[in-house]
Amino acid sequence: MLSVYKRPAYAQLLLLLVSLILGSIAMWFFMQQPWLGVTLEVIDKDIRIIHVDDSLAAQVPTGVTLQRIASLKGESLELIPTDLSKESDFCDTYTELAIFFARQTILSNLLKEDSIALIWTDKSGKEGKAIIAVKQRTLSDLPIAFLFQTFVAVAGFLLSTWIFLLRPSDLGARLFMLAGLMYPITVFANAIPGDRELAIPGELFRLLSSINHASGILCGCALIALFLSYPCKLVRTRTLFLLPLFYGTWTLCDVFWLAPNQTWGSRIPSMLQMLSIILLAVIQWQKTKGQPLERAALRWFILAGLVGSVLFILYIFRFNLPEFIPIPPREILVVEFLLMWVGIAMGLRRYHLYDLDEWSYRGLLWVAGAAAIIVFDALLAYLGATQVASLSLSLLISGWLYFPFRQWLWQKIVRRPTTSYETLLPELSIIAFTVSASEQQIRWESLLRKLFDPLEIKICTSAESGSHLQEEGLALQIPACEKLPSFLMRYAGRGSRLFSTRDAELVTSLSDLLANVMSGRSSYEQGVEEERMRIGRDLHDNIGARLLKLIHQLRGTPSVEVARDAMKDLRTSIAALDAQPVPLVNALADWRAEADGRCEAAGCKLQWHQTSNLPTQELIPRNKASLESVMREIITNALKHAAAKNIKAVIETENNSLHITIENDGQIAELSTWKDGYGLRNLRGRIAELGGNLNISASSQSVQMQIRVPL
Amino acid sequence: MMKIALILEDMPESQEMLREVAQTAFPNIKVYCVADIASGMDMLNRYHFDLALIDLSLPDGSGTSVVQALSARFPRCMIVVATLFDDDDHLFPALRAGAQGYLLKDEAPEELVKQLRGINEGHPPLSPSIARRLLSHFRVEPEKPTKEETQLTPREREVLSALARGITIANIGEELGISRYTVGDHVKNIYRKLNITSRAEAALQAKNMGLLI
Repeated sequence: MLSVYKRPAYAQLLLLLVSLILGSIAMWFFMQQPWLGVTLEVIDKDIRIIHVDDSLAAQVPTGVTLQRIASLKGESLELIPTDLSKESDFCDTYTELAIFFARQTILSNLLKEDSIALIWTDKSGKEGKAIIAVKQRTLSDLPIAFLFQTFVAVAGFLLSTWIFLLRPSDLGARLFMLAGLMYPITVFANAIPGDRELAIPGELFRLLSSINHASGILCGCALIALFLSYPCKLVRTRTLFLLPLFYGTWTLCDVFWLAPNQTWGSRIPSMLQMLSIILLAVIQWQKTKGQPLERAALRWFILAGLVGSVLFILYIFRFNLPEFIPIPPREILVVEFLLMWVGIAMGLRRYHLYDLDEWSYRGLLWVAGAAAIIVFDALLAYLGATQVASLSLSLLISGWLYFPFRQWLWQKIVRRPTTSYETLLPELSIIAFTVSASEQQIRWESLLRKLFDPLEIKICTSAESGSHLQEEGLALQIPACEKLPSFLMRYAGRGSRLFSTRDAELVTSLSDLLANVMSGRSSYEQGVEEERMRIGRDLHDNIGARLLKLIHQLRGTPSVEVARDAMKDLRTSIAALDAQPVPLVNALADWRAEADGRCEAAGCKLQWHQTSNLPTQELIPRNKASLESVMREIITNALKHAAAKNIKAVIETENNSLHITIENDGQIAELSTWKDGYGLRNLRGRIAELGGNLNISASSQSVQMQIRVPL
Repeated sequence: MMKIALILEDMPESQEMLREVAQTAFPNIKVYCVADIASGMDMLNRYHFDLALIDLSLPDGSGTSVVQALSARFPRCMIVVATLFDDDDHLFPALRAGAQGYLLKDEAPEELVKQLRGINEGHPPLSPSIARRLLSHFRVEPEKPTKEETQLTPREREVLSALARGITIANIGEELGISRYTVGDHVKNIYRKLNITSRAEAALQAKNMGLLI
């Protein structure tokens, strides 16, 4: 047995064999029953022969009303419509049931003869008669409905045992298997009498009905127990045994006809069970709030459980319900149960919940849509409309009211990212071209948030490439790309849904795209950087060394200052090649340090006033270099030409423009005489390049240079 | 006391100028001049240097290796970089290797003399950009308030903050309304208390204390 657990596939093969044997036995048993080869149906309270086997075509016409059957010995029985009832629960009282079984016994005794007489009347009331042989069905004569039910029984059985074999220690799987074991018994016990041609012995009918009821109730008990313990455990395992005890006793009352009637004996307990399942589904839904994975599993449960339960309740009460409520045919019910089985199996197995999640929503919505149609239909029929009119009207109302609502609900629940490349691409390129790495990271993170609205997003260290689903769709891992770290998002849509494979694919392609753009950009930058370094090195090694030589040679002459300023400008230019933007505060500190040094060397006093609330703006290197040269030129002029003793620099900002005022008390020449010098033209040119202006004013004691440049 | 100086400089004019500057700043100093790294290294085995003026771009490599060897060999030696460029890329490795300051060779020799003396007195010129680079490079986790820090008086903290921003002693005095000599005293106290010897270290400490924004 242990080895079977270890090899679920072998065990499953074995079970398949067992179920095939069981199915064959059921078929064999079915084929043993006597068979005439006529298909009967109750139409307008008449038993019509609607189809006959080819061998009888010459003897028996179709469309006639079968009145009675008689043995050649002369025993006969008038047929009544209830004789064709597929199940024993068409009637309410056990007395009626006893009569039905007794008639079945009589009929089946008649069918034990070798041949039998069929007596019918045609439309004009003329009687007809044929003597036909009682045969047995061959395999090809088996009704499709029976074969189909056999298939469903085997499939349901295999499905539940498969789940059990995969998770033998799981309580949910065990309960499901229990329900699964009952399932084929229920189906066969229903199919053998249900698909009979005319009659089977009454005792056999009663036995099979009892088996059908009992196994159905036990199956229901197992499902209630399942909903009581999965996904959340609501009661202790021991308490679950009360279920079969309670319903078992009840069913015994039904089997031995101790209950007041069939409604009390079998319909009410079945309905109670189904209502419990619905109630438990609601409770489980509330319990799993904030647990997306459990909810995704539960959605399948609910879809399966609700639909199955509602249809089943409708079915068992079909004889008590008003006519206008549509009753699902028995075959559909069986299929529905199989779907329910699949739903529960998927919930238990948690099979690819992240991808199927959406479908469970769709399923629920479809069911709701169908329910809406039925409700409208019933309502309108009740109000007196004809059936055809009511159906079309209810479809119309459903279309007008329900489908827009459903669409809205769908958007609301699933909240898929409404992604379009028109909005994504610009955002991606903004991220790729953001200079600062931290800002880049913030933007990428906010894009991910916008796309998936996760409850949690954190940086993780993973070298994996591509996006991966984790924790069965609870989490999605975002690959690292270029400088961006890898992220782990959890709980999509604020915990309302799971991440799907589609989400992972979207993220993978986004991050690939981002990586491409960023690597293109960084290789471009690298090229620029290399070129810059080369130019810098050249300036440095060649021009710098020559300038220095010149400075040494000019030592002691007034021209040395020109060479020194040239050297300083060269330094500034090389620094500007080092393309990092500099905060305004830092630039001012650099300028002040230089001015300080030069003034001190020249024995001049520098007063430096700058406002404390400078904006946090950054200067691009080129602008910094230009302003630095301007400041240098002005200081040089003040020291050299004016021989100033005091220099005062005032730095202010206003409306995003920088105001620098430099005042010196040197010897003031007539303004008009130095206005056209090369130095001044150069100054104005540089300031104009920055989009600013230079204002020169002079009083008797001082000259003021006012620079205004936009920031 | 400065007795023996090493000058490592490949351009003859600059070498001559630096010798002049060293001798003016420290009269009676004995100066040995070499023009490449190999000879510089050789010199280390022959004399015990108190002062070294090292050019960085030399025909046989970067002067940084000599700075490193010097500071390992003579921890008390004052090592000054003589360069044309004060950009952080150039200076940074040398400062890290143990240089205490730098001189720009294109400046007027009289100015260089002043600066050299300044370095000797413990306040080497440190351009704001170099200070910033040092800070961003070390990026030390802000330390928890230490004893030394709490020992600094509020005035000393002000001075340290200004010092770290690259403001000269004279200007600090002016800004705080005290004489430059008082500022000098504060600086000495700060260096002693923080057990540091250079403005770069001062900037780092100031950063760690959160005095720099």
